[in-house]
Amino acid sequence: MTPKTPKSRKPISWVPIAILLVLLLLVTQWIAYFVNATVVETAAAQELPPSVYVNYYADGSYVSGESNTAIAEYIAQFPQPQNAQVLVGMSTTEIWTFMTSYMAGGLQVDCTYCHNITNFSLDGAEIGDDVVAARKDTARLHLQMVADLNQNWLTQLTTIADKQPSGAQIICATCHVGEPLPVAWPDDLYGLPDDFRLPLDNLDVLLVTGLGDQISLDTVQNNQNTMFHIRESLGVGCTHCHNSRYFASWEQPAKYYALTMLQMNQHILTEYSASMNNQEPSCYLCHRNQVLPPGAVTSASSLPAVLVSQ
Amino acid sequence: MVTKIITASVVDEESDFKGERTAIERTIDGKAIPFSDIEKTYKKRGRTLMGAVFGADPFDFWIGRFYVGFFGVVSLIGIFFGVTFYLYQAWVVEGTYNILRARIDPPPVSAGLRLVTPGEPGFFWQLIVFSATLAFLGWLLRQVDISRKLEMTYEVPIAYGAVFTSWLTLQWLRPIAMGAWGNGFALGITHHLDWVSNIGYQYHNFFFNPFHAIGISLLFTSTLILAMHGSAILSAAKRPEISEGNVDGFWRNILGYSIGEIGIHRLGFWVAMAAVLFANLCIFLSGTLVFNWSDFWMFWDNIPIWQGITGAGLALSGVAAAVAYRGRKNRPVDMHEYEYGGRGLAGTAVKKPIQVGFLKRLFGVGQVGPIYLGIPGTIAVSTGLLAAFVILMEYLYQVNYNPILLAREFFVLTVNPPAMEYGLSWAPWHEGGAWLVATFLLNVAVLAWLVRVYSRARAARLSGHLAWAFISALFLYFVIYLVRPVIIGNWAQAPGQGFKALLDWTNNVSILYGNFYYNPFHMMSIFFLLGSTVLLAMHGATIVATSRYGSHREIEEMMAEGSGTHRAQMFWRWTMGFNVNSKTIHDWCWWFATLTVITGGIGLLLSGTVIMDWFTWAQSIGIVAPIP
Repeated sequence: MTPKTPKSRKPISWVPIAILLVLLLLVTQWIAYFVNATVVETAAAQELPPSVYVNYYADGSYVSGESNTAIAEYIAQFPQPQNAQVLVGMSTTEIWTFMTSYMAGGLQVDCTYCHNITNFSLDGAEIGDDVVAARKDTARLHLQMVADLNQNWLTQLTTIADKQPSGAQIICATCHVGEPLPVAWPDDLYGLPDDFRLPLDNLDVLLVTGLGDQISLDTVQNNQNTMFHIRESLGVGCTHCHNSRYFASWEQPAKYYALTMLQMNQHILTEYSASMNNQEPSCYLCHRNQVLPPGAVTSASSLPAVLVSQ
Repeated sequence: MVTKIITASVVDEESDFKGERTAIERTIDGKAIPFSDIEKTYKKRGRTLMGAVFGADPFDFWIGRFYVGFFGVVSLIGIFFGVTFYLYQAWVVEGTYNILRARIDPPPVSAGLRLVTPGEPGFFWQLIVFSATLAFLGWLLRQVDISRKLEMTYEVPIAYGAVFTSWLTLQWLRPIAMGAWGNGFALGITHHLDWVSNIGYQYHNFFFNPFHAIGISLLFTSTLILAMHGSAILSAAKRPEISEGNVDGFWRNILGYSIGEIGIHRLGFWVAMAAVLFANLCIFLSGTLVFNWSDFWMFWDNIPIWQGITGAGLALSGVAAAVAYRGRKNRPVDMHEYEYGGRGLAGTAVKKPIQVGFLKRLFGVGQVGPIYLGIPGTIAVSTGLLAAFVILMEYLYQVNYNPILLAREFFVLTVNPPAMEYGLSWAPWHEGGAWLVATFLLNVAVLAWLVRVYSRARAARLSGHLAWAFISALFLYFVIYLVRPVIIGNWAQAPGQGFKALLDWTNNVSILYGNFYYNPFHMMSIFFLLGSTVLLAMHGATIVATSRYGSHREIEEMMAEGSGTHRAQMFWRWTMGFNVNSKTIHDWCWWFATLTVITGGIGLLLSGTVIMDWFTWAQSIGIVAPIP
């Protein structure tokens, strides 16, 4: 038996205490910040003025005084449009109203972005500026695309039982959301190392459950990356489209919507990708973290009949 | 009451039990006393909470083994009505005679926080939840009463209280915070799996919920602690020449530290409770403050320290300075101060023991070292380090040798196995070759570790329980990394080497094979995993609560039970009508922990080889709750 030694009091070591304190302080700050941000976000979301869009606001006019003067003269000279190929059946004034609110407002650009304002009806080389001429061609093609998507694709959504679509319509702002050249899937949106883009060349690779050893876990991972793309773009969890007890089942109507939209994306890729700087379309391009694309128009009645599904 | 901590391995602590003869001597000399006689001496009226507050407890008596008490009656009322309402809802309201298929859903979210009326959906769910809460509260306070009667400290009701907070979080706090009882937990037996699936995936991917990850890690840590502790005690059982010192020597040889008899029970008690508390945090935050656990991690890439080498360097050197500063303070102590010198088991020391005050305060044992190397240990550590080196070099290659990017993306980076097209053949280095080499090295490392565990146990004159427990863990490991990929025919079936890769693999395997929750072996594995945590909490709490009577000296108590072990036995006998002893509790521990990994391994082995879709399988045998 060794003699009992009195316990020596060791000096308190301040370093770990200081580190712990700093950590605790940081965590507390972060939690406070996080809670505050969540609460403020929720509060801010409730204070927005009404709009024809789901959740998009084109503040002010993007049309310069010069353009306004020019268009006033043009309307006085030509009450009926001279070269309208898509917006048929409308007076010049109606076209002007539509263009200033939806096209200029959706892209947040002036008339001069696509037009020679000495004569709004000019096309191609007549415009005198190749860049502007190309923009006008693209704009016209995109108006046709809007009509195509509204009339041939959104209409398919109504065929699904149990859930009616909201009736919102695609228009310029739906993709552009105030940017003349929107980016479909920003490269730096999510970090290394995965590719989250949609498998538009073959949607069948998304079917995985129950395929056992016919497919690799890599295929499942690609499926999950695609699902991540969709979830992040719409700001919803998996249960928006799935009864997650069995992902392969079709119990939630929204899953049919998602499939229709994926097929629409395939259509956009083959038909219109060239006019989108060769970008692949994405869910994010329109949805921007919301279930209803913020730049969609809530009702078909506020748009020209030629562009919407009736 | 201040309790003196007894650890035989450290002589500068005075034992309360010194002067006592060794257990084996007492056993040989003494005569066996019937358990019923022992029980009689402890069964005394009084000391209850009701007695303390009101002066009397009208129900202060036993029925057979069961202690009743006022709170026992409260609990019984809750149990009776809870079970009745549960069966009524299943059999009469839902018409489901197969109890597995009952849904027992809460009221719809649209009902908010009001009490629904009879006939509305969720009415019986509310009654069951109220009854169960009453039953649990009664049970908690009954445990307090029994602790008071046995003059134990309150660790068992505290551990039970931790689990009770889970129920409160799940069924009360979260639904109230979210504004509707509809957010409560469905009580059907297989339908609760649907609930867990749908809640997990509602907030994108629950695997990315950090509190979920910590909670799960702590559940597995609990199972590991349970396996290690159960093995340690069992391997000393029926070996009268073995004392605590042999077990201590074994652990120090293997790990460099033996936590000691009271320390392991404290650790178990804390870890099991922490698992539950982190689980509470994980579910409470989901749907109240956090709606997307994938995006939650956006903050990580936005931390300013990634902006430049300055910030990261400062942070790293701060940590390094702290480590160096702390490291200096622990000077080697005089070997003569300790029971272990350069002789016997510890003669294989490669390092002089050091005394860590922090560990001593926490667990009662501060001695770290000596540690035994040996050939298997050297192989295990060197192949393990080599595997880590291969994986790290591959990570560096993936981030173009950018150290900041390596640190930022560390938990996302992965070394993947060769793609399916390569089958079981060699693949180019950066397309899976590195994975093959790293995984092979890891396989060697774990097998060498197994040899080490077994040979050190034999050297310490202990039996091979820990080695067998480790083999059961290796069964799961090799099913994941070797057996199943070989049966299916490609390495792509195995997980990549990386943190996110493991989470993704778990998620992907579940989705590929229908839903792993419906895999009955997965069900069993989860049962044993959570059961292990419950056992650890129960055992740890019981021993800590009776340690002032010496119950933690389990190797001695197995041979000759003292008052502490008696009280521990009485506690559970009176609480649930059943008790174990110092030896058999560790049988339970050992089997629960090993069955966790054995059943898990079987469940995985059947997936993709025999069963392709567990959900449709579950439908075919009729255990899936119908859609109402």
